[in-house]
Amino acid sequence: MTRVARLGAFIFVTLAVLAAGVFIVGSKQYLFSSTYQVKAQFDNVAGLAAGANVQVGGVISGTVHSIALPDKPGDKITVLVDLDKSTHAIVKEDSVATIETEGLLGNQYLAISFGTNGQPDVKNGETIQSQPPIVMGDLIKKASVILDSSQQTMQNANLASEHIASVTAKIDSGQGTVGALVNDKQLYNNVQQTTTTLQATMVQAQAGVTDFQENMEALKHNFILSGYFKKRGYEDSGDLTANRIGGLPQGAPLKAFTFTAKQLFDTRDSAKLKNEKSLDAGGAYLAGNKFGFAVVVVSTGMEGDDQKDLVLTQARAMVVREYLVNNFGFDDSQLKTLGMGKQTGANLDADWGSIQILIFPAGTAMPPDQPAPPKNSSITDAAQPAQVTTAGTQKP
Amino acid sequence: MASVFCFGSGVCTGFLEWFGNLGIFFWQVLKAVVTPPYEWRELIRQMDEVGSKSLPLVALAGAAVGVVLSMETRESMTRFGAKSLLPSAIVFAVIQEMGPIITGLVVSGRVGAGIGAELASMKVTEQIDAIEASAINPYRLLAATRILACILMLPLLTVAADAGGLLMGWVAQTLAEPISLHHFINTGFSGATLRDFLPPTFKTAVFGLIIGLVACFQGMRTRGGAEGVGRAATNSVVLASLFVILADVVLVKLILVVFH
Amino acid sequence: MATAYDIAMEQAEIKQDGGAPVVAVENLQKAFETQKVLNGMSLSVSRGETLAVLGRSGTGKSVLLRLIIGLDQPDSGSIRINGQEIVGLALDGMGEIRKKMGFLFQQAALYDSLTIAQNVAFPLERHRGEMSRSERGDRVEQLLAEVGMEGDLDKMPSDISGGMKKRVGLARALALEPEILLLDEPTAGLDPISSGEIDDLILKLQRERQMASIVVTHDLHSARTIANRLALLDQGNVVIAGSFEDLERSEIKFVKEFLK
Repeated sequence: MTRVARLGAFIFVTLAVLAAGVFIVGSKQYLFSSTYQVKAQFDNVAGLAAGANVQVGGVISGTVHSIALPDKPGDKITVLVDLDKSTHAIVKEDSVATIETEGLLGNQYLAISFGTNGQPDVKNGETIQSQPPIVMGDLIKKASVILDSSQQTMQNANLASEHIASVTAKIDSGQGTVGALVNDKQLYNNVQQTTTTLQATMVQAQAGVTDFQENMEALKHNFILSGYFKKRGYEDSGDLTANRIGGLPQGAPLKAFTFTAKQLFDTRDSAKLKNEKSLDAGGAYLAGNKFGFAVVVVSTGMEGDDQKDLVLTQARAMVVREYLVNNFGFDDSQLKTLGMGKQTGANLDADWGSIQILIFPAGTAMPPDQPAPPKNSSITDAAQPAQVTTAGTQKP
Repeated sequence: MASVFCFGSGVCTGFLEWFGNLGIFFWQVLKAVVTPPYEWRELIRQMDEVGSKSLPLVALAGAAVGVVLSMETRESMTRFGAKSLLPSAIVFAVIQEMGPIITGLVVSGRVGAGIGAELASMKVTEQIDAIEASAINPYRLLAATRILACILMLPLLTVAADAGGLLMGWVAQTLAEPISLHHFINTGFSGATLRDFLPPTFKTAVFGLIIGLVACFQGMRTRGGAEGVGRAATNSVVLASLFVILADVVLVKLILVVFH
Repeated sequence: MATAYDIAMEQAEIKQDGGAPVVAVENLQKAFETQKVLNGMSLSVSRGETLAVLGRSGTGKSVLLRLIIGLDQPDSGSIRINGQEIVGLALDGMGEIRKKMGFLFQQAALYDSLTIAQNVAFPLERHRGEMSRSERGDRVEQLLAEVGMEGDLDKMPSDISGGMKKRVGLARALALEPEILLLDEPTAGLDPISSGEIDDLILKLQRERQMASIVVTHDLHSARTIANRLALLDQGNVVIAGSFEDLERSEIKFVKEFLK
């Protein structure tokens, strides 16, 4: 290669590399693309320098051309920005310029927000709104205030935890009740024992209850005590609600037989049946006719205890039903009882209440059963579950 | 008078005289440069000598610097958690300082010694006198062409050193942690302005002036045969290198003041 | 008693053909450091005349030639070339005058980066720009043929012997058809046969060209062969100037010593 050719090659190649470098740097400075200019004003630019990037929506789209200090104090600093022409459509008059930091300690750059659609475009040289930058110094001041107060909190927490520590220490060493509880092995053993004993007792109690129930039953049939039961009219309270229904059904009855309590019962407050024969007419009808179902409805006057009267009506209904069931042939599941308790009525008081046998035609909807009303707690209640099963097979 | 100024110190007086003579020499060269006839052929020849022939050495030196820079900076950057800044660090370091100064010193050595020795041997064999006796201005033919060649070729050589440095810097970087050249260049040059890169590259023209001037002066003033030639070559390298480094200090400051 | 100068002037007036001396040196003073080399010497040379300047080695004979061609400046005195004062003339002013002079240096001072032909072409390229390339080439060949070096056009100076270098030097000195020829120790370092060859060559060239020649030599025999007049220098002054016979006849002690 001749001297001149070699020299020419050297100069050409190095100039080409230089040109490439200039181009690379220049394109980053937007020297080679068409740009337009926008201004933003700030009180403080927080270290933003000319040549810094300008991001629109996070995309680097321009550079800071220059930053001019104001003429007099009180005026704002003017930041002049070169923006790539491609941003013309998205930077509008309502775009806002802010100064951001790359990362926490990085370089400052200018961020311009998108404008809203419909707003007019920014013209070359116009000024857009701006927000003051976060000055790291202020942040740090705030942070230090927070630090101070949290320091106080820390101290308090410290004290508290010290206290807890001392308490824990005390517990550990067996001081105080909890300490005793936690630490006393003997107490633990006692509790263990107690629990075991309790379990045994429960079993025993259960056995006892069954036993007791049986005793009661026996007593009822004892000649000394049976008088009570006879006087009452019934032995087992358990039957009281065995066949009851929740209320009267809709619709008119086929037939109704009505009696006064005075007619059928001994005393005002007993359920001992007398003059059973008067019930025969009803019984005969039940046996001889087709019907849906029938209800023995009993009510008393206003005298006496509410609860006792309710029980009385239920008992009376039960007794009437039993007579009918025992003496006449019909499906006894079709005969229900309904104890109404106290009812108002003209002749109820004088006659100690009323008893009705209402017979309804087939197809009448039967009202659902109601849960047993609350009774005074008695041993008979406890015995009830056991008795229901035995009642079915027992006969007076 | 010089001795009065220097309180009779021989070294000091000698130094001042040297500077004075250098100034006179520079003035002669300057006059020769601006007046015709122009020695184009000789200029081309010198540009080839200084430029094309120094290229391999300069590019290699630049590449070596690039590798070293890359490895060392990587270490410190990682420690400060700024590894993403590594391409920028390399690009800026190479183009703003390492490229120019390495080129300046390498050329001081190669071209400084070359010119110093060549002109010195011409002097001791009376060739320079012969040129003058032929009614040809030796300042124009010999000194101006060489100095001009140095001024013009140094920036181009610096570009070559920069290219070598950046390329090898990328290679070293990518061997440790793969990064595409395109990405390296992109992140490396981000935030750069022409004001960052063009002044450092063109300040090497001043280096060229220094190297050419000192070497020609030393060469053309030689006395004393073979020993004189050796001395001229050595002095050229030493003085050129020294003044290049000093000039760099001044120029860097100047660039900072003027361009930033 | 007539001074050497007077004698010389007489001689010059006789020899020349109707004009002032081509080279007229008057009362030159030149000192280097502490040594006074020329102490008021004067001489003149006319067209067609060969003046040999003799003296002890290292006595400033070469300095005289350098002063005449302007490579050095005298401390005082006058040098007139064709009536024009050249003392104090700057480099550029000397240009036209130098084009009329040919200078053969002691070691020929060939440009060692150029070939023989390029060496001889050197002044032609710069001062005979109107010549075409081929014309120049022919001229170079012609000149080299005159000095007997026609076959060695493309050789480098380092490839040829001392005697051959001087021939080429002569060819180069004659390239521009000078009026004045200055020869610094043309036979120095040559064996007797080669010296004789050079002497013959000089004679021949002088016969053809009728230049005003000044030959500085310590070779008495050579001086006697080629010179019309001889001037003997001692202590920086012309002790005697005249034909060889004049020197032989002289009673001056130094001359007698020198001629032994």
